[in-house]
Amino acid sequence: MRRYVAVRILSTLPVLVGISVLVFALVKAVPGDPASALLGPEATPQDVAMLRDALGLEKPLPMQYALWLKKALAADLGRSIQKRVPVTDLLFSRLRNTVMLTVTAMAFALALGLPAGVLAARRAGSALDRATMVVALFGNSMPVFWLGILLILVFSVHLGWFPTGGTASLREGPSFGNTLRHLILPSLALGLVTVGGLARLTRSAMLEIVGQDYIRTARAKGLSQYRTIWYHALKNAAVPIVTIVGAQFGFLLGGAVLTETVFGWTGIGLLIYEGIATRDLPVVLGGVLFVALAFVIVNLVTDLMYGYLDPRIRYG
Amino acid sequence: MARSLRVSQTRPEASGLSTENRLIRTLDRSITGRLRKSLLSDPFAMAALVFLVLIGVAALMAPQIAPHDPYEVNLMRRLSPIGTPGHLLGTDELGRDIASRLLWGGRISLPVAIIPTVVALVVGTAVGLASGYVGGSPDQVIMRVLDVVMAFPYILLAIGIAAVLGPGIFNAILAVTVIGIPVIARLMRSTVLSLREQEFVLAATASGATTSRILFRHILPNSVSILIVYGSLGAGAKVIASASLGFLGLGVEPPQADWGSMLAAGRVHLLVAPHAATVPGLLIFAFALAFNVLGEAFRDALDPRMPTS
Amino acid sequence: MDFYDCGDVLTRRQALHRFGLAAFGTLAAPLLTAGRDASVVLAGAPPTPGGTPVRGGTLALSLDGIPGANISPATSGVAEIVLGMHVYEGLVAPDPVTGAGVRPVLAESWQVSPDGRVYTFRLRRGVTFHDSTPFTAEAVELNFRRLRDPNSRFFFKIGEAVSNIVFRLTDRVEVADDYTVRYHMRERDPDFIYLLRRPQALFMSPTVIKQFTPDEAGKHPVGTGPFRLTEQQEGTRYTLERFSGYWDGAPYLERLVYRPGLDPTASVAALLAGELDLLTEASYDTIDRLKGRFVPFEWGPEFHWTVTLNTRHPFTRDVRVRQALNYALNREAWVQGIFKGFAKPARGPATTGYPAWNPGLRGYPYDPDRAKALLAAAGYESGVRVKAMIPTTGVPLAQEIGQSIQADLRKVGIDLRYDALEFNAYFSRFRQGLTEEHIFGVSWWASDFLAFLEQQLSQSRWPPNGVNRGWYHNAEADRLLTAGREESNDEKRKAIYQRAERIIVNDAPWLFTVYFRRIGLKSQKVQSIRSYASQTPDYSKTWLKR
Repeated sequence: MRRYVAVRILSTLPVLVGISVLVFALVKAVPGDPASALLGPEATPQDVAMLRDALGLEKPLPMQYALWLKKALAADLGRSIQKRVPVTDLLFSRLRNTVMLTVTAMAFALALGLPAGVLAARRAGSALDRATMVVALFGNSMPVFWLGILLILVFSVHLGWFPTGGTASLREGPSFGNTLRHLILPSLALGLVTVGGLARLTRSAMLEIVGQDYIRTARAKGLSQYRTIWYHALKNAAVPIVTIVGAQFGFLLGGAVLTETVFGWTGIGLLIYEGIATRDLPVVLGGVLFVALAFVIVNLVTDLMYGYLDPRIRYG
Repeated sequence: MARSLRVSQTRPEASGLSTENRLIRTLDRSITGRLRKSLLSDPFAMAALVFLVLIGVAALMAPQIAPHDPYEVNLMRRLSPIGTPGHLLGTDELGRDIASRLLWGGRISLPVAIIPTVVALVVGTAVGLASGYVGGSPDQVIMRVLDVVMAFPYILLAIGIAAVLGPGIFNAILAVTVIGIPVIARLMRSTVLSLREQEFVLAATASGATTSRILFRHILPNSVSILIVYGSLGAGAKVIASASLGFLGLGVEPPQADWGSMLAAGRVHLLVAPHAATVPGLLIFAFALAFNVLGEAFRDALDPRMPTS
Repeated sequence: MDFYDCGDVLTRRQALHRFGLAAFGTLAAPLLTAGRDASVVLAGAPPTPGGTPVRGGTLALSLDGIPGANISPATSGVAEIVLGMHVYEGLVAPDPVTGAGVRPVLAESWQVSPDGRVYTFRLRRGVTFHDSTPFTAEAVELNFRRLRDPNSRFFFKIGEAVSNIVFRLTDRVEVADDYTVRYHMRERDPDFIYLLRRPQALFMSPTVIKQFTPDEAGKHPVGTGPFRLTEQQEGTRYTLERFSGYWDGAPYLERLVYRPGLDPTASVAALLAGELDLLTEASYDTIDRLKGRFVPFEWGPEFHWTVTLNTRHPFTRDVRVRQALNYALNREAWVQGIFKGFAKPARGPATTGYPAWNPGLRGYPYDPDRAKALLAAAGYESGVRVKAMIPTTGVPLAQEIGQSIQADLRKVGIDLRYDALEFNAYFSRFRQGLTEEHIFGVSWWASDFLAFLEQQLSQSRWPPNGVNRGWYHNAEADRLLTAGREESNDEKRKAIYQRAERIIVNDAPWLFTVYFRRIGLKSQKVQSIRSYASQTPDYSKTWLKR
């Protein structure tokens, strides 16, 4: 097992390199180039060629990649072509926003999904069970950008309870309350589309555990239903739930692009998206690698938990 | 996930197993039987199935039943609201009938939801089975490759692929397929890993069965349930993924309609004429919901202990 | 497209979303019908309507895209340019009402030598930069060398490519004395003065240029403009504050605050919720719907929604076909249906803002029968299937107009399909010139300088040297365009270009569509927005009514 862990950790590096190659190839393969994006529709091919040269885009592709890789290994992710600032600066300034959004969204999802799943498990097979699951599925069935739009329409435009977007108010100074008000709608949108999965997972995990021998033993010993369900079962259900929550985190980090777009929430997802639009390769590389690193780490933890949970699964 | 698969539901010859595995459904062992039973007893699932069939039929018959030409532009009647005479669901930003465009759009959106699901299932299963069964370094290499694809934020991967290939149905299908493969592959792989050590497989190996026989007669059939469930749930996700592509301008070329592009085009006018975005959005939602509900019902029928996420 | 006097780039935000342009309602209708009558007053432009200006207040605005930290004249991101135009100034600027033409800013006056190759500017005295550096000829020369002199130690290489569009023909800048500079041109360029309105020709403080490396200088935006950039929270908020030492009088507003990254729908929602005071653009439908609560205002020059026909394509090679296509377009329906009345049908390549505007020139009326007859004469009686290219994002109303063209052409038997490309990919391709695949490509251009026709339609401007992307050439027109360049008498020049335009309209190298301006929406309390340039309005005289 320890050997497995070591191998997995070491093999993370090739994964990251693989990702960087994929991103590099993808961005280079998309028609259009950053010099063209910088100069805009008016410029002639001559102007674009001159700028390409100034930006070092005329070098052969493998060489461009090698140069980037060399600096990246020294933790220098280069400079944004479009904005002319170090990529690491951009990532850090956006990191806070992304983390806030992801954590709060997950909090919403857990707060709604866990109780729903437990409730459904307790009344497995009943109409309540069915109804809860269908409602949980609602969120999963909505494109997050559509849900976001609807939330803005209802809660911002019509009710005026929350701001329509952005990360901070223009007129007031920054404050905790200010940021919180801007945070609620986007994380609600993102959380609602995640809650279904969590609810379903909680439900099935709970059902499985409740059928297990040790639970029956506990009940036979005379523990009340409440204690049985909440104490023993939920504790044990926590493990697979945590596993999935971890996986969802990785998904949320990168998949929040659409939410960030709709709400103008300037996080890393939006940064990567802008980077693609302007073919700003260092930005896309830096952003994706960051997200990928988080995801890969989470995957590793997940896989390790599989091994821990089910000794029948062997690696070798 | 794989750990909760129950083996003996489908193969009588596996009945000589540990008690833990001997949860045999009493009424009907076949998968189709259980599915049918669950559908009949679950009104939501039934409604979902009926809805999907209706949409499918309506889309197929779009040329016959669409009230208007979906491409007919009428600039004087842009963004007419729901209930305008002659346009039950209103018109879009160019005055085209939304209802007709939705029907015709189904001919694009439906394949873009279903084809990637099927292809991802097939390819993912093949990759996952092979990788899990063979094990060793090939397994590790494949898993790392899958890691690379999975670690890439899915929407950006889809954007990247679609941006490279350009807009169009086939490219959208390809983009959506690629992002669906790793999940299935990983799932199948862990299924294989789990089953590989089970007694019935060991027994089969001991009695001289070949690899392919083991895979096809023993392991694969026990995975069918999971595939059905994930497939139907995945279809819902792919509907949304393709709508997202359309939303980002990478769907089909104009003036063709697919639901995601209609949603995108209507969004600009959301505060002025909400129906232009809300109606296609509702349809996408209903469609994805139907798949999700069905998938959930299948899961319940085939094994309520199968965790899904 | 050509936002000729400001910003030649649409990136990021426009690349991310389409922007709908807005129409203006009854307020601007008189402006439209009056053509270029300079006496027509745009409501809200000069300070008189609304009362006496009040000092103080904050204007909350939306920024399209997210700027980087590098805000210098030779930057090319849209968001950076918007911020930069409040901070920096140049020698000249457009007229504040029409958004076209030239008026003195940091230059008090200028003269052109008889051979058209030396521009002498007398600089305004008493102007200082935000950091108290005085504005003198040294500043002009240093800024020029920063962008154009590879031997200068302040040379900003990227700025060279970005500023090509302005200084392509400029050889050097000579300092005659502290307040006199001369631009020496390699070739005669009678419209050079218009180019000096662009962002690349604005001036940074020479102190900043000397103090920092070329890449770093942009992080210290110091100009002579009415506002100073005082706060940049990346991705969150950008604040500009009043520069009290501004040469034209300190602005009434105390500050401008920009929120970046909002997409069009969210911007409208923010306006409705009171979080923003104005939008610099909104869809025509939105404007139409909201024009009770909010006030539409137009700004920037007039543009032509340009459809460049491919004169090398077998179909559109034939002039009869090109004329037929022009007859087939129902421009009035577009103006009413899409632009809600906020546009004018086009009759030739140049808009009403063109200095040589010819009121008597007739274009192509809507006549589908005539179109069909011409097509039949050209051999396309039984219809034809063709392809064109169009961007999915970035060009305003591309989808609406593109599909309207499709619908109109369908009625005369032409089955038009589109290759729809994302903005960046689209212009990378279109730049090279149209290939035999497509019968047209689209863009939009402003035409408020005389050499516009030459820029667009001369054979000498075929790619890669220019923007004549449809490969149009006509020997007689070319002769006239060259003669126009050489002619120093303004009236004679105009006459020459009018003759050329007649030939061009007859040749129909474009589909002539509509003329339109940028339209925004403002809350009732915002007064006196000026037209500074095409990327942003000018708020130096704006004030808020209590």
